[in-house]
Amino acid sequence: MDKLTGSADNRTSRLLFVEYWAHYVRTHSDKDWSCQQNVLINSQLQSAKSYPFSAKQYLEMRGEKCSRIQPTPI
Amino acid sequence: MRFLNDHTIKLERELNDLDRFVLKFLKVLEKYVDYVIISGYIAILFGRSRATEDVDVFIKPIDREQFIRLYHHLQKDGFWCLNAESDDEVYSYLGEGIAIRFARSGEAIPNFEVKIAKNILSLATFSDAIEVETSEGTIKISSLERQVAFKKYYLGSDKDLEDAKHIEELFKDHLDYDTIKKYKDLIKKEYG
Repeated sequence: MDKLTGSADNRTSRLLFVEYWAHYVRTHSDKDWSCQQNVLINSQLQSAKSYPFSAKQYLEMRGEKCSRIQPTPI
Repeated sequence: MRFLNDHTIKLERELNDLDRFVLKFLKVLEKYVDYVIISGYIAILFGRSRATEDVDVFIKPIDREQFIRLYHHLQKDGFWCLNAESDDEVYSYLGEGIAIRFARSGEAIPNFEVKIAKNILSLATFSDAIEVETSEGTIKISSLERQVAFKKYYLGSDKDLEDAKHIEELFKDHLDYDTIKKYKDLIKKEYG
């Protein structure tokens, strides 16, 4: 599977990429693919440090219960 | 990555900040209760090209005293519970079957969503769990067949179908499709 196949349909296109990338992971060293993936993961965690909502707001947005009074750890 | 045996995978990936967050939390958790990670983090651990804001974990039923020891240890190690503060309140959430979330103190994401495994299907995740050995610790995850079945036949969102596809393609030489079908039937029986 050398080349990524395209599709006009977004869902199909996404699944084709998932298959393409999984094949890459299967056929390359763990170090190789993980270095590429880590750019995405680490950048997301970096962004999370600036997450603009409190824990209470986060849970409320998810429809989950929060009885926390203190917005920050005591 | 390679299978050392049917229940152990050696993963020689470069760990990222999410992996280290997971390992730090599990290092405390496993001292007090048995656990299995069940979420999309599994696909991400094995290279899926997406991020996540939470990691779902089942724990076995735990009594109040043991849970409070766990909770205090987590607090000492820099975690807090997003849902509540007091020992009794946090424990009561679990008792009511409500998931509780732990993140680094003062933060909301990423977080661990902790649930007690109660029904037969949930408890069964412990019996065929897999251990993933990384350079900085071991992570217990649900079996790959169970992951695929739940993502395809219970959750079913586009994201879940993509996660399942990633696992199916990556482990296509190892997956037992009869087992996936068995879980599919169990899911249908349990959840309709």
